[in-house]
Amino acid sequence: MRNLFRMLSLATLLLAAGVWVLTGANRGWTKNSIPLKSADPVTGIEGVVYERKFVPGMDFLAASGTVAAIFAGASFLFQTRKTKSK
Amino acid sequence: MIPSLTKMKTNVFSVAALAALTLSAVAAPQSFDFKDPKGVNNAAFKLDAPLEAISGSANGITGKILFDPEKPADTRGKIVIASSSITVPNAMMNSHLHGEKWIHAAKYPELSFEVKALRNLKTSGDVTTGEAVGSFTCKDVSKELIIPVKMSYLKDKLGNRVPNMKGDLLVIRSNFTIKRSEFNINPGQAEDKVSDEIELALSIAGAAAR
Repeated sequence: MRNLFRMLSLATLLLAAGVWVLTGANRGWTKNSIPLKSADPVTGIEGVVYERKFVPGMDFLAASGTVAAIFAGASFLFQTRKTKSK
Repeated sequence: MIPSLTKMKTNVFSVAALAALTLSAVAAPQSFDFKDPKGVNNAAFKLDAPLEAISGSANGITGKILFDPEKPADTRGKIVIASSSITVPNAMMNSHLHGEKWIHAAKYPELSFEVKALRNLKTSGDVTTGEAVGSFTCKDVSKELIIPVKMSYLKDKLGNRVPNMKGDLLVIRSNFTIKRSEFNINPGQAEDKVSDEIELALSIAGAAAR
């Protein structure tokens, strides 16, 4: 059980870091939509349209780190199995 | 002899009336409608605080501007931004922004700028630059602002943008800064994360159909 929680903690950290890096390593707040810009050919005005997309930010990393710390802390609640000496 | 003279008089009056009508049509200011069917018109904003930078935009733009290419100084009108269209990329931040402490979109559904005068104008071809003096209204506060404007008059270009329509376009661009504390937007609070100064960039096109 102890090892399971430690594995979960590590997996949470690695998964969060992986998702964060793969989605562009956004160092701001998590975004639920991203602005897409397109220029109008006649007026030259650059219009902005928001597309729904999840882009995790530093708050996502912090939340994942907290969850990982909880898993790691919980692992200490379980004692290691002692081997019987003959 | 007399009937032909009468006919000639009638023709002269008809031509004169037509000329006067044409001249008045040319000289009269055109009403440009800024409700953009393509939804491209937008007001972008940026707040650069010591701890955080926030940027977003609003595309719910309406309003009418009376513009005469021969007399740009006589330009008058009002541009309105729907508060509910103000958007930032973070959903939670967006709901806070529309809440009571900040924009309070439910109670104050519009922000507006009403043009009262144009000054220091310079016209080069179809482009006029200068300063617009007007009243900026946000929440329950109206304040007179002088903002730089660039107006591009695009004659007969409406059809290029909206098929099957004939008319002119007026493109207005303006970059200016307001202070949120002056417009009762959560004044004096969280200035390390949400700066007092709001940089606004207005890029809008209005259409005058014929």
